[in-house]
Order: sequence, then structure tokens, then C-alpha cells
Amino acid sequence: MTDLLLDVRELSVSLAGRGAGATLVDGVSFSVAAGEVVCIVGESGCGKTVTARSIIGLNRTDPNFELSGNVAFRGQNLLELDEESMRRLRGGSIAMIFQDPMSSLNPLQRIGAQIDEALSIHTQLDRTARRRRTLELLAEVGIPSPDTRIDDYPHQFSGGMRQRAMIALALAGNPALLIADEPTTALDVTMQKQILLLIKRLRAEYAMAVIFITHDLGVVAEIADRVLVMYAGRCVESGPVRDVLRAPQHPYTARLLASIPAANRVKTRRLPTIKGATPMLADGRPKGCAFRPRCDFAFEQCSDEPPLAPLEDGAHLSRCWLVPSVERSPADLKIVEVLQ
Amino acid sequence: MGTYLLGRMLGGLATLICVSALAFFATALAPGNPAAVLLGNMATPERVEAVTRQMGLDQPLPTRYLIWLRETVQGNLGTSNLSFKPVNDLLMTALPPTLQLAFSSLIIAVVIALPIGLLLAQNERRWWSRPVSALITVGISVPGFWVGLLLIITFSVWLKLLPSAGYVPLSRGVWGNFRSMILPVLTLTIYLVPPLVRFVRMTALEVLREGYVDTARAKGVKPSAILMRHVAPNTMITTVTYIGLQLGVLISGAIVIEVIFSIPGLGRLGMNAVLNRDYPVIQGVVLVAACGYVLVNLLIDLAYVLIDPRVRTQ
Ligand SMILES: Nc1ncnc2c1ncn2[C@@H]1O[C@H](COP(=O)(O)OP(=O)(O)OP(=O)(O)O)[C@@H](O)[C@H]1O
Ligand SMILES: [Mg+2]
Repeated sequence: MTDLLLDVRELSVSLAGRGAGATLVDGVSFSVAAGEVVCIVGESGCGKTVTARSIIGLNRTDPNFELSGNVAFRGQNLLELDEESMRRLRGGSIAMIFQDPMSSLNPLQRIGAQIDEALSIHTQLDRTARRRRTLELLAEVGIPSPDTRIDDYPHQFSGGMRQRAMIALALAGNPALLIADEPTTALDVTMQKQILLLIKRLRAEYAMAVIFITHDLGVVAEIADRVLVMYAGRCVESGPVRDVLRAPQHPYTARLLASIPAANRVKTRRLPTIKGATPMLADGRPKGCAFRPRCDFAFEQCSDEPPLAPLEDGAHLSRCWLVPSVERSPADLKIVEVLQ
Repeated sequence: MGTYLLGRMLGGLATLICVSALAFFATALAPGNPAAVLLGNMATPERVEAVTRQMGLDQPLPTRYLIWLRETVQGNLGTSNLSFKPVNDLLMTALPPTLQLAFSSLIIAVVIALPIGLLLAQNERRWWSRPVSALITVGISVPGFWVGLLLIITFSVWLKLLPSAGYVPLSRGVWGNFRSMILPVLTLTIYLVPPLVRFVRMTALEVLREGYVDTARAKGVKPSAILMRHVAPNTMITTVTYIGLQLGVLISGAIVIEVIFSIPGLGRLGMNAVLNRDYPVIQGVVLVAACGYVLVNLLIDLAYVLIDPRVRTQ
């Protein structure tokens, strides 16, 4: 890995105050190189959004959360950075887009004005230059005839166009890292595909790294360089996308793969459920491997928590005692082949 | 937008018609013959009957309503049964103090409550937020007249700084008018502010949880700018509606305060009219109040058009 951009070490986020003790994100470590796309996958409630918001610092001033660990961005620990410097970073070097484009734009402000606000914070451009740049950005993300649309209000945009506008807004500060938290989940199928391709194209054009959060392993196969699989607030498997999808080491990853119908990989909005439910983190972390109650391969040793151990090549990590020889059902293997 | 405003105007007209019918029938059906009240205890039954006929009170109700409506639309509200002055004149002299009292208090209350509510919401977790919010809750349960009496005792009786009662019209000097309105306006404002603060705070707390506030933070917008540019306008939309719904509270508050400070306004006029069964005056006061209500609500709809592009472009 060349040119490390973001290095997250042992990031833990727990609830303070009332629900004290619940650890939503537990010792997650991963890194993102410049220009790289890292996907975070996992079922609902496994802590993907909390992780993302911790990186960009949206929950750092919220007394409900307690953050620990180290989030090094270009060598600087963001968790210890003062809020004012962090604010300058947000929307500048690190940008974020959200899941629901219907609520993520201010309904009372024109689209152009909302992009302009970001430009005025992160660039030295004057008024007219900012407007020109806003038009460029809107064109860039595929808004047809931007000069007639720039002064529209969000309610005059469709869901897909709003997400495009959000992406334009995120690009305003020329980010080195874009965090996309399920940017396609709320959109219809064709729109999902288009937005995905847009992000893929822009990432190359702007040479930015992307942390892409999704439920959808089809999306992962499409866009990711590396994957991080989360379960119950922990990283259970990570590695280069081809290795993880071709030879998933953790039974949870294998089940995730098995549960997408190959024919409509990109279509699946929500992951068909794996038997059983994710543990309620508010009740405290279960002892041993958190996936044990749902795992087909569980045995005695699973009552102890396995470490996140590397396979022989070192880049592919898995948190399972069975590594490196998880027995997978033939069905799983078939899907893995389709994905290749 | 045009159809929106037209619809609102038609709605206002319908409200006025309903209220007028209500004003008429409620007073016409109330027990007690106005003619008898008018003539006093010493009148002979024949005399009462004659006056009843003269006043048109022997006609069937619907006829009486139509006659009344025709006269009302033409701007003739009749004469007071008590002072024999035209109701129009009575209303015209009573209206200015009430308008002055109600609108100054409302404007001052909004100007005070909006920033307090927004700041309380934004600083929800600060140590001072809880005690201030508790104080607001206490403030809501304090009756307006009690505050008024306290203010009278302090500023008029003890400090002898301000008049405790009476109204000086603007025409008789700006300074005198200002002095005479300080305590009433202050009392009504203190009455209006706490519920408004609570409402603004609750609305702003909801707005702060909206996705676009996250977007603004993720853009790197300063907290103060987030509050001013994103939270405040969105809070205003709901607050404007709330103010419209609270007009009744404003009107009843104004009545109480006019009585306490002996301001010869609409509230006191109506109150005296009710106590004396002065039906034409009661009807006049109710109609003016209803017109005010409808008018202010139309203004609020207009304000929507100004604030909310979703209303404007549909
Ligand atoms: N503000 C909060 N207060 C309390 N608990 C929270 C808060 N935000 C998130 N959580 C809890 O943290 C856990 C992880 O939530 P998170 O939003 O990160 O999940 P996710 O992986 O993004 O799920 P999804 O795919 O549904 O978006 C959940 O159990 C959630 O209930
Ligand atoms: Mg999420």
C-alpha cells in the first residue's frame, strides 16, 4: 500500500450517559490509501454509520458518544484535533454523503446556494467564480442543463438528482476522502446503478479515496478495492476485494454472499436476512464470538473471542477460529464464481 | 401559489360567515329580553312589548338574521342598547388601544422568544439549559394577571414610576402613550413568551435532528451559521403556524390585561357589553375579533409564501 491517507486504529465508540456501556463500534482498525475505494459491509445496526460519522467527526461533540482509539488522517489524529480545525477539514479534505437524499438538502435553500455555501467555506473564489464552479459541479454530476436548475429548490429535484446534487456539494471542497454512507439505498434500481457509476467515475477524476458503506455485496464487487466486513460493531473480515469475495474466510461473510441472488445482485435493497438476529449491543457484548449463535460451524472454542488473524499473505484478515479452512457449502461457492 | 392564496381567502370568508352566524344566534338565543333590559325594572309589560316590536325582536329568527346580516355587510352595526351610541363609533375608539397592545406584545414576544428558544435547543447539553427550561415551564403556569398585578405594585405603587391604569391615546402625546402602555405590554409579553420559547425550542430540537443539519455540519459550516441559515428558517415555518393557532390566547390575554389596567379597548368594551346584555355591541366586538383573526391568518399564509419555496412554486 502506497501513500496512506487514513489510518483507523482500534476505533471504539460507546454510549455514554443513560445507555452507558453499550459499545457500538469495538476496536475497528483499517486504513485507506490515497485514491483507494474501501467498502464497509454488514447488516443493519452493525455500526457502519457510527464508524463513518466518527471519522468525519459528526459525533465528536455529542456527549452521548465516547470515542477512543486513533483516526489518523495524513498522519494527524482526528480524535484529538480541536473542533475548529476539524470543522475546516469537514467538507474540505473529508466529505460525506448520506443515505437519504430526500432529507439531506435544506428544503428552504436553492440547490446552487447550498453548493455555494460549501465553496465559500473551502475555496477563495469570489461570488461569480463560485457560481461558475457550481454550474461546473452540477454538470459534472450529470444534472441536465445546470444553468436552469441551479436556482431550483430541492423539492423540484427527483431523488436521484438530489443525490447527484449532494455529490456535487461533497466535491466542492475537492476532498481527498469521500465517505458515502449507503448513497444508493434509498433510490430505485436504475438510479442506484447510475449513482454508483458516477461515484466510480468521479473517484478516478478527482483521485479521491472513497469509503463506501453498503449492504450490497454486488456493489462491493463493482466498486471496491478492499472490503471491511463488520458484525456487531467489530471487524470480522477484511482484505482485498477479490480475495474476500472469492474466498470468504469468516462464516458471516460467506452467509452474506450466499444470501444475495446472483441474478439481481445490484438490485437488492436490503439484504435477505441470515437466520437469527444481530445481537442487541445495548445489552452488552455477548461473550466469545458474536456470530456464534447464528453460525453453522460453531464449536466449543467459539465461546472465546477469536483474534483478527491474517491469512498466509497478510492482507486478508479474518476473525474466526476455523481460519483458514472454513468449509463452505457448494451453493456459496457457486455465487462466489458468479461474482468473479 | 395563486390558487393557494385564493383558497385561503375563501376559507377566511367562510370563517367570517360562520362566526357572524354564531355571533348573531348566540346572542339572539341567550335568555333575557333585551327590550326589558333596556327599559329597566320599572317598565310596564305593554311598554316592553311595544319596544320589542319596535326593535324587530318579534320577527322569526331567520328573518332577524338576514336583516342583521344585510345591515352588517353595509357597515351598520346598530346602536348600543346602553349608551345609544353607534356601535361603529364604539368599536373605532376601542380598536386602537387593543391593536397597539396586542401587536406590540406579539412582536416583542417573538423577537425575545425566537433567539432564546433556538439557543436553548442548540445548547441542550449545557448546564444552564435545564434550569432555564424549567424556568420557562414555571412561566407557562403563571397567570398573566398575577404578573400584571406584581408589576403594578412594583412600578406604580412602590416606585411611582409608571401609571397603574388608564390609556393615553397616541394623539395626546407619544411619550404619554408610551408610558401608559409599558406595563400592559410588558405583562402581555411576559404572558406570551414562555409558551413560545418552549415551542421554538421543541421545534428547533427536531430541526437539529434533520438530515440537512448533518449535511451542513459535514460541509464545515460554523455552528452559528448552521443555527442562523439552516435551523432558524426551518423552525420559523412551524412557529408561524403556531402563532396563528395561538391568536385566541393573544386575544383572551389582551382582554384580561385591558381589564386589569383599565384600558378602554375592545376587550373591556366586550366585557361590559356582555355584563349588560348589550347585544349589538357584543356582536360588533365578536365580528371585529373574527375579522382580526381571519386577517392575521391570511397574513400568516402570505408569510408562508415568503418563507417556504414549496408553497411558492406549487
Ligand atoms: N445516537 C445513538 N444513540 C444510541 N444508539 C445509537 C445511536 N446511533 C446509533 N446507535 C446504535 O448503534 C448501532 C449501530 O448503528 P449504525 O447506525 O452504525 O448501524 P448501521 O450499520 O449504519 O446500520 P444501517 O445499515 O441500518 O444503516 C445500532 O444498534 C444503533 O441502534
Ligand atoms: Mg447506517
